[in-house]
Amino acid sequence: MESVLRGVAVYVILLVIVRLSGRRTLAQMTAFDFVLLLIIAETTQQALLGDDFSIANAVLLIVTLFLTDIMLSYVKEWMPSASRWIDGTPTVLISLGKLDQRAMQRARVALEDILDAAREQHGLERLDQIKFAVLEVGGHLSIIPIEK
Amino acid sequence: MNKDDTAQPPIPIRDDGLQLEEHRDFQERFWTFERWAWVGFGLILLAALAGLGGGGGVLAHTTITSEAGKVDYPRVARWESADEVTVTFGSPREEHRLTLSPQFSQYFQIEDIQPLPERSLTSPAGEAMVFRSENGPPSKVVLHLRPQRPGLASYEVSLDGGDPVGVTTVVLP
Repeated sequence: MESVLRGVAVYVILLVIVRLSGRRTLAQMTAFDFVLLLIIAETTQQALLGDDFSIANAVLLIVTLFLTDIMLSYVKEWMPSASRWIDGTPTVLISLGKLDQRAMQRARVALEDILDAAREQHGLERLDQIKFAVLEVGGHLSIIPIEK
Repeated sequence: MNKDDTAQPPIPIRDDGLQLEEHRDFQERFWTFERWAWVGFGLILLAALAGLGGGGGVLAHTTITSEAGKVDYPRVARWESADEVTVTFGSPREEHRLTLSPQFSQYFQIEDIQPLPERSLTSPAGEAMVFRSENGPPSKVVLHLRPQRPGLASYEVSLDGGDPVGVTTVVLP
């Protein structure tokens, strides 16, 4: 019983904290973010397992985590509003070449991040070559260049 | 395009030509909520530094004092994490007696007692530990504990046969 409760509790707590820390935090993988991710994984593992290292406990936890994830995907399908809370929605940061400063500030995306993505995805050199920039649900930036 | 695709509600095309549902009102609300949540994270950290999360800190332990002595016990403890209760006997006696009510053992496992009691007695009132030494009784006894389940652990402590005093420890999951 304890394994299932631990699994569900840790899943929900992680979901809430990761979602509330903002989309950019975990998607912007700098070297330090990678280290942070490893530390979070290690900390979570201890809370999940406690001092029970049996295979039965591991199997129960894995099944619990998968089932919770499957159930959550159904909840998101049935209730689109819940999906917005759990996954978020895309944010348009540049529309027809015009910067939305407020959205950038609230979503904590710097102009440098957008230019970085533009260079990487399309080899763009300047801001005026970008038509749209969208902060996607997954936390990465999509760039659509101005058609020549 | 097959039949299933047409069954999905269409995603509207914005004025700027992007087919995307932004839900900007929701996002504004969520961003505000997110900022308040960060304040909440900060408050959780401050509470933890003060000791309300267990594991040390000014508020993690508290002391009750009576004529027979004082008991320093955890106000907040953590499930399966080591903690301790320190008993300091007041008046000098040949032997000292520490009695813990039965509720204590439902929540805590005693891992070690320093110094070890000479004998231990069980009664409906709980477990009594008698401490004695050749050079007089120890004035201080430390019980090293490990909480066995989360919840509100309410138990009674009695020193040298005095009136039992009720104490409560919050055991965090």
